Amino acid sequence: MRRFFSLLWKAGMPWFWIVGYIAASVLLTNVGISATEYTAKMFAGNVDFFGVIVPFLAASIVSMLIASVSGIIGGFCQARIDRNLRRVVWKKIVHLPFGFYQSQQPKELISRMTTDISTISNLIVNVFVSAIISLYSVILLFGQIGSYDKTLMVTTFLLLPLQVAIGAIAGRLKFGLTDEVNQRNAELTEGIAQRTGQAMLIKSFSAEEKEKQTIGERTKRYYQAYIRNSWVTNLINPVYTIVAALQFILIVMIGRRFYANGAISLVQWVAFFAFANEIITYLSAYTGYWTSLKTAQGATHRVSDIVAEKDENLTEGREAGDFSGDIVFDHLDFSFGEKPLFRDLNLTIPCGQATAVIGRSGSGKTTLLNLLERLYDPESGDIRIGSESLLGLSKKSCREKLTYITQESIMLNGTIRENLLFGINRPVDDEELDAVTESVQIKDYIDQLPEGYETLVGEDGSRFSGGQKQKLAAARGMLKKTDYFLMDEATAAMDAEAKDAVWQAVSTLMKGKTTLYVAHDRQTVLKADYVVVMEEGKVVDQGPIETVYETNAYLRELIGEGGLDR
Amino acid sequence: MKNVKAGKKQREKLWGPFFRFYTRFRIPWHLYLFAIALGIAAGEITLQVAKVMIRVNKGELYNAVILAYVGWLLLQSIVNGAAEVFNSYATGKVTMRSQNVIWQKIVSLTMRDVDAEGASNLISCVTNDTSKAAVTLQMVFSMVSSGYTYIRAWAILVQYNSELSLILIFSIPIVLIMFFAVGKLEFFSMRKAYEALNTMTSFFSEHVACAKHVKAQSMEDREVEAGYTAINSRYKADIIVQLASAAQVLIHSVYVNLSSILIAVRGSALIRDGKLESTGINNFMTYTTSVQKYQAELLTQFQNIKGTQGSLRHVNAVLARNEEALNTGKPIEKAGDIELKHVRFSFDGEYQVLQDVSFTIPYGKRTAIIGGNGSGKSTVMKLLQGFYQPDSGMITLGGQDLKESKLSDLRGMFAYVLQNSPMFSGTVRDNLTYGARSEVTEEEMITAARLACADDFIRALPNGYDTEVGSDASRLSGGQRQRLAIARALLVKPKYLILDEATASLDHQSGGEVLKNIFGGDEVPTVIYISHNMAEVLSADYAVVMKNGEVEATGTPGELWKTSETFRDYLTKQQLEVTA
Repeated sequence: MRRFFSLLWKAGMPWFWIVGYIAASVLLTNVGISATEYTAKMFAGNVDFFGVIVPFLAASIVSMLIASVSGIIGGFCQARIDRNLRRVVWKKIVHLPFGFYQSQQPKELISRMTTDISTISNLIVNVFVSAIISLYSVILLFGQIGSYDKTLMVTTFLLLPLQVAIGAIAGRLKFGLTDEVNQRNAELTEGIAQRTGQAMLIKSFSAEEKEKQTIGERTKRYYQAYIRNSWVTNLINPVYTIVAALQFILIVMIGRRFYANGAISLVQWVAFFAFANEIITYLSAYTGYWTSLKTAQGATHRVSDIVAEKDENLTEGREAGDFSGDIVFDHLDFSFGEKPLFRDLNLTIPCGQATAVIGRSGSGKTTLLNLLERLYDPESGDIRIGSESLLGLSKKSCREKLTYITQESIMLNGTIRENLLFGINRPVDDEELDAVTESVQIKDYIDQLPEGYETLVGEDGSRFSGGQKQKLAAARGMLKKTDYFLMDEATAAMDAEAKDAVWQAVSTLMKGKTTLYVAHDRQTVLKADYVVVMEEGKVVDQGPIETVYETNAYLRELIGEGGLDR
Repeated sequence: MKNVKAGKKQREKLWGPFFRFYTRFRIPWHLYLFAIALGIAAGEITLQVAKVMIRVNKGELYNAVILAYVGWLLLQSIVNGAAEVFNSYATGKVTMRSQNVIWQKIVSLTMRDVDAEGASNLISCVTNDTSKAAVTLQMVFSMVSSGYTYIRAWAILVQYNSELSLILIFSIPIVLIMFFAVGKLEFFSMRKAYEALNTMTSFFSEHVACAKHVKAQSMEDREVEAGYTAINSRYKADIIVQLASAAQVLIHSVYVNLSSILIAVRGSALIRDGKLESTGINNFMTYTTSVQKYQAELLTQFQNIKGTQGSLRHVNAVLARNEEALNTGKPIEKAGDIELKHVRFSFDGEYQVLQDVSFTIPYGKRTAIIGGNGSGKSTVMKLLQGFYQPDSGMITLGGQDLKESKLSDLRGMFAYVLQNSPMFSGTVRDNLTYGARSEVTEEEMITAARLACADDFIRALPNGYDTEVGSDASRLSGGQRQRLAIARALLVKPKYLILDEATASLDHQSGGEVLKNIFGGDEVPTVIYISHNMAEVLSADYAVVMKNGEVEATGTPGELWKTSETFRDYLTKQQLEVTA
């Protein structure tokens, strides 16, 4: 609960609009009461034109206008709360540490940003604020009834307990079922979303019939939940009616006594009847509030959880200068959750050379690069370049001094140019772009596209094959021009010719500078001067490639018959 | 004349598909008929309730009146509840049936149609559009009972006082005009909101997946800004929607108030003239409330029906697309060589991916296909399995033209492993036995997993073969996923096994081992594999070199070493040569 309020506090509520909304609603209730009184007079047969009809008209029109205004303000409130919350949560998401993305399904964050936040803003405006307004209205109505007769007012209080009891029971009954319907619907949607993208796989396994059945079963389960829910809803309704009837009887019994002994007039009776019904309406709304509150609990928890996560502090620490010297991992400990990966890892990567890290999947190669890029914090130990400890530097400046081409060549929807220049903080002219795309052998392909560099890459770079995306990612890395270059299987999907061309370009660019890369194919590994062999989080061999070739069977096997001839 | 025709066509476009959709599955007429009957009964009861209500408002608080009122109310809620139950059954059934109709269509679509529609656009067809379809149908039937009660309420009004009723009737055209104006406004604002929601959702869905990239490039600030822009466009759309809905509320209350004002002004005059009993306004307004209630119901129902036309149009467009004919055509009697003869192919009708490709894949042999990125290797694999048809030229299998062959027979002979093979949520076992054409024994499954070098890591998982892999198999590494995909393909026991860079994400040791296992198994299928790893290519019996959508050379690796420049070049780049 405290975290929820701190979330609202951080997001900032549109207090001005909320107060305006409450004020308009309060005004509306007051005008509504006068309108009801004039209606009552009319119903009782008092049709004095100036005394009743004109005031009735005025009250009607005013209440109509106020209703519209308060509706608009309420809507604005919700839209603003939505926007403020989304901003806070999005900013948080961008700044979450990398580890968070490893442990959670990133796709889940989408519904945090969209539906969950809408649920929360709805909760605030249509539950919290409405509850306040309803409370005020109920008090006001009681007051009005009290002005006719005090005892009448006190007797009307009898309505309260009945309403509360029935609300609590019905809310509890319905809550679980609505949840089940949503659950089944989510399962169905997930199943379909997973399958529509895999049409080719389904066809290739001739699994059409099987998939028709799988989804058919899910639609059936949804149907069953839906029907169960409908039965409960519709069985509750007569119960509600019985309660309403009891309340009606109560109201009439109360009113009748006062009317019969002349304590209230016919006009007052009609007005009382209308007011009592309004009170019931407001009170039943509280049942709805309670149900909404319960249903929204999941959403509020999930969003509060994210905002309560610790930020990655990008700017804390000293500004990094230009790095020079060897890369040193010094007594490094690191684990994923319970599972230790590195224990007392010591490794020096020589500067001014190309170093290949090899080893079986799961041996910790990628994690080594991620630690160097400061995507994770080590548990203990130090990472240095030259004599400079990276742990004391700001992450932002550190990352700016390193180029890292990741395993997944990620493209953002936009033009080829935007993707090539993503993260490049200096002007780049076409000539330079041409040179770099030429060197990775993608320029010809871009040239034949009707819009050249301005062509849209499509969702997740769908216009390009895996190999072409890697070429673009390599070109982007080369534009960054840093003294340290990290590559994680960055050329694995390229054909042999392109691989050679890209490596040619990288080695020219990085001549005398430091390149550190993970690879598992012979052609790429042979580009190294220095090799590190890893196995289950340990460095089992390292040294100049010629030396390691002599001592390490894994490297020899990887290189194969051709030997080290280059 | 021309205009009339165009107008008609427009109309046909909106209403035609609308009704056509409902002919595709069985509609539970009896449920709807019960619901209508109960709806009419509930309407009659409502009018009775109004009658008693008037007496209560007159201060006639006798026990009989109170009991009658309570009795009618109870009956009303029971009848309404029953009608709702029938409606729910009908709606539930229609939803389920239309979901199945559309899903079955989607599963059977040709690949070209899937591409044209966009896979992610198909999701909402099954989930959102169908529930709208069901609601619409319910609305159509509810209009019958609402319409009946509406007319009944009018009849009572006219009977009570025709002069006052006349005034009300004159206000109807005003209501209709306002209603349609607001309807347009709402349609416009809803579309805006929908677009903005879409833009925002797709922004987030794309960007949350890119965290590593954003961090590596230190672009957090720009990322936050871009997100704010997306959020703001949604905010603006929200505001427009709010204004539109406020306008709608205003217009509705204008109407409601307009009639009470008219009744108040005119009715009070009538009372003063003695033409109406003194509590006449009470009577009249109470019935007017019923009239208004049903009028509002009818209008909302109509608006709902209009509102779903868009989604139904989309569904109908999908339903009109081409299906694959899986079970027509000549059965394929026996496996044999696959021959491509002058095959040309383009995905979009512009860019020629394959230009006059001819070569033979010998039966029972290992054929490697090599070539640069984008040379058309994977496209050939898709044509072989009949996912797409060549634009011209012909592919034969065992001498039989694929175009005339039974598609299910053809697919039944192949197993296909892609570079990034998808998994479905479920256990490892579920995924491995996916598509298996006969009952798979535990032993067979483990053998296949061993061949794919997957058995060891599967056993190390928390629940072994019964471990949930999670959606998109995100709990497994790329290499592990790939090994599962290979095992899955082997379990199908294909005649032809296609490996499309299937071993690229395995480390070299497992990659080589997997191939060796497959080649050395008991029943070795015809293997067709695409690879950039020339050491793997050298173990092929036969190889095809592709370049820019054409075949550069074919032959044994030994022959290609002499004839193909690209082949030699690739080998040299990986420090390999053919010695034999």
